[in-house]
Amino acid sequence: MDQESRDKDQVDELLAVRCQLGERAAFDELAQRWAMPLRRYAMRLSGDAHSADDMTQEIWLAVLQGLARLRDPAKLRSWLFAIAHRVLMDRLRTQYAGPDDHAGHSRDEVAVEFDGDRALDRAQVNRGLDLLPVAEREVLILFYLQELSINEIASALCLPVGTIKSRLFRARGLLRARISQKESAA
Amino acid sequence: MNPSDDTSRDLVAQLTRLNEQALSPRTRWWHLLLMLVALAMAILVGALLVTEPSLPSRTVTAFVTILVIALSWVVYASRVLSGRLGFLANHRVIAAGMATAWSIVFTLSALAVGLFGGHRAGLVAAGTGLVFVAAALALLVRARRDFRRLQERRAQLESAIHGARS
Repeated sequence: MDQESRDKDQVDELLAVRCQLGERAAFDELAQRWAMPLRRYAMRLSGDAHSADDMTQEIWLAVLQGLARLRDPAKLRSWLFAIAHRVLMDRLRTQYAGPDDHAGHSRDEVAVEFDGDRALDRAQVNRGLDLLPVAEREVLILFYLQELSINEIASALCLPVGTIKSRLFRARGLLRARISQKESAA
Repeated sequence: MNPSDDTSRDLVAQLTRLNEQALSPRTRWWHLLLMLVALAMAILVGALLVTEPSLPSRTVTAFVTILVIALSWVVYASRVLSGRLGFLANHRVIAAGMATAWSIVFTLSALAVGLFGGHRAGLVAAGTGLVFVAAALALLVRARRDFRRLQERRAQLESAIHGARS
C-alpha cells in the first residue's frame, strides 16, 4: 500500500472514530468526503441520475444508522461500499423480483484465476462499463474507479477473495470483448 | 459554473440534512419508550404531590427524588431523540453515568429507611438497589472504556496524520 492510500485510510478512520465519539461536525465532513464517490458508484450501476440520488440518500441513511455499531473504523471504506452494495441489491431485487444477481455466477467463478494486476486503465473501464452485466460492472467500479483492494471488495460484497479475483478476471475479459465488438461495429 | 459542482453541493447539502434526521429505528423506539415511561412516572408522582397536601415529609422527599429522576430521564431521552444521531459513545457514557448516580441515590435512601426507620422493606429495596448499582456500574465501565479507546485511537491518528503532513 502506498503512502497516499495509507493517508486516505487514516483520514477515513479518524472521521469514523470522531463520528463514533459523537462529534456532530464529523458527520458533515464524512458526507462531504463520501457523497460524490457513493453517488458515482450508484450512478454507474443504476445508469440513471434520479435513481443514483435516491440510492445515495438510502445508503447515507443506513450509514448514519449503523456507524455507531461499526466495529473496526479502519474498514470504513469497505463498510460504506458493503452498504451501497446491499442497497443496490435490494433495489434490483425489488425491480426484477428475481434471485440475487450473484447466484448464477458462483459455480464458474472459482474456476478462473485473476492475474492480480490492474491491466485496464480508467478510460477503458469508463468506456465499456455500461456494456456489462451489473455484477461485473460493480466489481470493476470498485477495483478500478474506487480503487478498493481485492480484500476490501471481498469484504464489501461479502464474497470470498477467490470469487472476487475470478469475477474481476471474467469482467475484464468481457469488457475487452464488448469494447472490441462495439468498435468493429462502428 | 460546472454542473457537477452543483450536483456535489446539492448532494452534500441533502446528506447533511439527513445527518439531522437519521436515528436507527431501534434507538428511536428505545428512547421513545424510555421517555414515555419516565414521563408517565413524573406525571403520576407529580399529581400525587399536588393533590395530596398532607403527605408526611419523608414521603414528599421520596416523591420529589423520584420526580427529579424521572424528569432527568425525560430530558435525556428527548435530547437523544431531537439530536437525531445514533446511540453514540458519548450518549452511552451519559446514560450509564445517570443510571449509576440514580441507582446509588435509590440504594442509599432505601438503606436509610431500612436502618433508621426500622422498616425491613427498606433493606430489601436496598438489596435490589445494589443489583441496579452493579448493573449500572458495569455499563458505565464498559461505556467509559469504549469512549477512552476511541479517544486514544483518535489521538494516535491525529498525530500520525499531522506528522505525515509536517
